[in-house]
Amino acid sequence: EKSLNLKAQKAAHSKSLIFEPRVAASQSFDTIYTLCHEGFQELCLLDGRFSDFQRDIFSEQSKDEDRTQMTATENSELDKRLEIFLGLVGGRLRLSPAVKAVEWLIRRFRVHERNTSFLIMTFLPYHTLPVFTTLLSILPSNLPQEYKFLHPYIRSHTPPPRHAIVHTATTNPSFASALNTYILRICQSRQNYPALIAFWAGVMTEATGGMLDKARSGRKAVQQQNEQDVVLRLLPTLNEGLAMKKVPDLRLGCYMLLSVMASKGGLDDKLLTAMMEAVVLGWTGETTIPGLVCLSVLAQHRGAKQITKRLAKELLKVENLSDLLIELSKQRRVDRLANGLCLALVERLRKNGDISGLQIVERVIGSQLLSDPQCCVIVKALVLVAHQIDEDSNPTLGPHLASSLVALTQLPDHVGSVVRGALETTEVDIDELELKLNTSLQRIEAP
Amino acid sequence: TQDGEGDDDNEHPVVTQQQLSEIFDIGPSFALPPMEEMFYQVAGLFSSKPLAQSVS
Repeated sequence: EKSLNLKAQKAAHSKSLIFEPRVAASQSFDTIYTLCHEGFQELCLLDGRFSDFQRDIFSEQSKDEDRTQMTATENSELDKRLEIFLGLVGGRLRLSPAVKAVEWLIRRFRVHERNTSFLIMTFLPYHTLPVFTTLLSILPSNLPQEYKFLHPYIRSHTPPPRHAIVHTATTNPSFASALNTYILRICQSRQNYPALIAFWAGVMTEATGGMLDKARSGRKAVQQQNEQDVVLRLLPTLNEGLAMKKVPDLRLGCYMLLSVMASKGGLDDKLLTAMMEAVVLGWTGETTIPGLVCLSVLAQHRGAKQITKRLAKELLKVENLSDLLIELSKQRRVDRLANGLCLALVERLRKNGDISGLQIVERVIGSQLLSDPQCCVIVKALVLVAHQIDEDSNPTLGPHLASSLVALTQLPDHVGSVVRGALETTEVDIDELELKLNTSLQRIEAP
Repeated sequence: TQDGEGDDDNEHPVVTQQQLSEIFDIGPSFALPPMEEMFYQVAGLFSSKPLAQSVS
């Protein structure tokens, strides 16, 4: 029995990222430590954050640490340290010092057996590289359910192709959830690196599209329920991702998921509105323009109505908002966003006499960002505000509105005639209004 | 549709899985373009074409 036990120990000791099993089996911890610690020291030169681990998992004493002799509490404390290290080394796994350092975690702390999920996630963005195939070869046979898709690749010693990972993320909610949790955790601790976020965003964008396509088959009632399930599963990740202001790339990934969900998810207006607010509330200089693009996609799926006060307030803080919208409109429709914004700005004008948005309304109409019916609605709403002005309480509003309305009626070409047409069909008496505003709005139709 | 705009039924492009794959499945994760560039490609697929008058 003793010899069997020894044999099992030897087999376990032979699992290595670097050495053939036969060689690994015969190595002492002194030998392994010397080699692995070299890698660790090189990592410390690349990133000071690694140095912290010199005092525990890469210390001299670590050579004698045996997890089987530790208490559960000690083991769970150790798990935390090991996973912080793995998160940090994730961005460096193409470098041999990093592989050497991870080798220590495998040989001494058996992370492949005890931290399997975290270790797989750490290596997954490198699934095309030989180091990933090597990792597969040393994993225990009883993988957690969400990683069972790796079994064929373990047997065939081949790297899993990307589409297999996308397929798993599409069909296996626990894998998708593990991936989302991993990325959020890494970003929370600022251990993110570009390839990881790109990997996650790509896999999850495709998977979300796939999940929603799949949800659409079947009866209408079932469809809606399925779509809702998919959306509800993803919302916590989006909420957390969008709340993290300091990781712009993560935010961009969330914008991708939002675009897919809005387009394929049949989301109701309430949810779309909440998502639009989440986009603006945490955006920063770096993510404002892509954020506007995302808003325009979300808005196109929302009913043609006013955006919320909160959203309008945040949008008004954007410098050159109308220029940005005009620029974006060259590539895509922004009319629902622009229309919702104008409606909100007219409302601010009516309620608070706030003229700060008047120029934006003028430019949006003048640059033809709106469809003709949308343009008519806005012009009529402006006329109505002008009609309702109480000159005693707000003496400056009238002249501002008058000059805006005049400018709008004087617009050339098609849009000018749409504005003038809107004036003609409004229920407000224009003669009376002109008198009130002390201006002339009715102009002869331009030739 | 609700807001009475006749073109709304055609305004939302149908995007296939293949089109999404073409953005992301172009190389290993560490060789992908910047996120911003990929986001614009994704948004481009899901955005409705600009209104005719805005292009002029």
